[in-house]
Amino acid sequence: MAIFRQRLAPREAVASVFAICVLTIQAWAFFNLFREVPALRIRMGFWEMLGTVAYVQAFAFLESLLVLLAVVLLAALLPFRWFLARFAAQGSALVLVSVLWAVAIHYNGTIGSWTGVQMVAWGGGYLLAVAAAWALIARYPKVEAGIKEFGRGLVVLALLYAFVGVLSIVVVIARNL
Amino acid sequence: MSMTVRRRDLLKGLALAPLLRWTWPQSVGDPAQPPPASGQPNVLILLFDTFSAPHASLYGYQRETTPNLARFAERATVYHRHTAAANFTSPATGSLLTGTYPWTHRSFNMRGTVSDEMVANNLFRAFGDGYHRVAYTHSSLAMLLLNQFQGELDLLKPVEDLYLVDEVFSDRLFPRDANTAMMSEQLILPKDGRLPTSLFLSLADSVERAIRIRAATRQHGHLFPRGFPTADKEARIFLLEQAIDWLRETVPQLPQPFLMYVHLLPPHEPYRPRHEFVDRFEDGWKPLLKPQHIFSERVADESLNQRRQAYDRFLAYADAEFGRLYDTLEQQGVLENTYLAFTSDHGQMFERGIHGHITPALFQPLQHIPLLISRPGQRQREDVHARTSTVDLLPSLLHATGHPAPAWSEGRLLPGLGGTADATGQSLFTVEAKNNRKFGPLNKATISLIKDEYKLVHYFGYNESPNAYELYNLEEDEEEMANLYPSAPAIAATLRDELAAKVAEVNAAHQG
Repeated sequence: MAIFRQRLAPREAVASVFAICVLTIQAWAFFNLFREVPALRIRMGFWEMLGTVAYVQAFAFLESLLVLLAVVLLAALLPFRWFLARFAAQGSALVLVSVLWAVAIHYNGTIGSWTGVQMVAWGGGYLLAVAAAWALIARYPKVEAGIKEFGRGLVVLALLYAFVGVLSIVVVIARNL
Repeated sequence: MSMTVRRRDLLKGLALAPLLRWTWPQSVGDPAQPPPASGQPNVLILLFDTFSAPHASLYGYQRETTPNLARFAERATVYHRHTAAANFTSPATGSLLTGTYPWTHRSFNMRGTVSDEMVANNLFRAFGDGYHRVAYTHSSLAMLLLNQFQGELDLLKPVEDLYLVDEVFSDRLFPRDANTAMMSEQLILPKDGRLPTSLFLSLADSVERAIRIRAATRQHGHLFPRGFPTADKEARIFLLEQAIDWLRETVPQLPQPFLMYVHLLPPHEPYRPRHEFVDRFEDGWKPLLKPQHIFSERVADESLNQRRQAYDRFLAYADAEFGRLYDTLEQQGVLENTYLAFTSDHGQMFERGIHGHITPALFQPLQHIPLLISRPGQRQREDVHARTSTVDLLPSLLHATGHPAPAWSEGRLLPGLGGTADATGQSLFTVEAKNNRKFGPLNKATISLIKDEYKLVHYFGYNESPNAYELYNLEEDEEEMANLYPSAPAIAATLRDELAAKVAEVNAAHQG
């Protein structure tokens, strides 16, 4: 158990990484949901719309938790010096680069129709971007401090988004009782 | 590569095994065994989506698209002037299942559902639990409606059971709230090119789907050189053969009496028939050229003709599969004790610069749909030329099976099922109002009123057409080439006043 605890990032660091996760993922969900509101308004009543928003936000919240879990697990598996030592900054950078890459993929066509070469190119580019961000953090303490401060500052706002996520899950459960 | 065969894959494989027998007209099971007498007749409603009657050789079309439907017609009542209540699935199917027009059941939006007040007024509830009630559909739009009525169904077969690839899961995960969950899933993990609300898992979903489609293509792709038939903008892949085989095996075994509603997608686009149909109708035939319309999409005539040809091929394929089902039902004796109704929800357009059915226009290729009904033991063809409507089917089938026709239905009894053959003066409506608010008055719509030989169309609320009318004489001008509205003011005024009064009546309950 002690070994397991040693491989987990500190709570405060996890909170700042979680803030980045939940804000970016739920902001993306909100943005694309609101584009559909005019079409939804035509055919849905208020409670049905509320239900739709709840499903979307509940899914986004669970997605944020999954991404956080993946980051925490990666930090637990990699050597301490590679990731866990600077978890807050590197974890936040990893999430931000992943978000940027995912957004770019969504705007650039269907990943399902990619060839092997495209997969390698996008995947390789992603790993290089993460490596570059981590290298910057490792080399420049001010960059690390800046990212940590950025994440800490978002925690309160992220709590609000997390509350929306939890509330959405409650609504989904209630609708299915 | 894993050699594990999942139970689901094994069942799918077994279900597909009979595909090998497509080209052999063999019977399934014991021949000519009439089902046990139950005292009450069964009812089977078989709907092929987007079936435009003007494209059926049974109804006089140039191309031999429906030879099997013609065989069925020899022992059925053929309704030659059957009119859809709407021009796309949500409102049209709502009208069939409730016996009311879209302005009453309110399912007139894309992915619409009937209003809460109307949910209890449906075909399945009206037949009651003295019938074993079963439904299946390929169409996610129709599924939204069937989900509303599932409390009245003994079996609502899951859509995915008869799909090769099905990427929709929310209806299984949230069965008690299936409609909202499914609509939300289309936002979270859309398959139609829209940006998803899911940032990361949607990417994994796309990759997984591509892998499954490639596997299905390796197995069956050689049979469908134009690609697989799909639904929901490629989110679901199906084989019509699988549904037909399920029906061939299931229908003769159903507890009796049964009421079964089956809504299959072909010949809805994309037009992807089996390989032996892909080269049919290379005849160089071109239909009558028609003028562009205010709602023209500027699709070139050459392109429309190519799409028409592709549609006709897909229709012929669907007809062939219907033929396999019909042969089994006949050989198994099911038709001795069953009302079999063959119909569609709406038609399809290939003229005036318009392709498809998602349009404000309401021309005959969209409205004129097939209806054939075989009564139990019927042996002779009968032809009905009176004008009939989708909303007539519910009260007629109820009446024919000894149930009272409900007061809330807006339909009449069909000739041959209790109605009079020479009925005149009946007003038939078709409503296109997908951009209206569900709970508001109709202020942006196209409404057609057909009365005897005349058809009045009113377009209102559109930018292209704030308030316009068209009038056609369908007896003398079935191609709707001559708009009589300016030249027949008396008839136009009579119909216009009737239509206006009807719209005011239906809007009165939704003001404010």
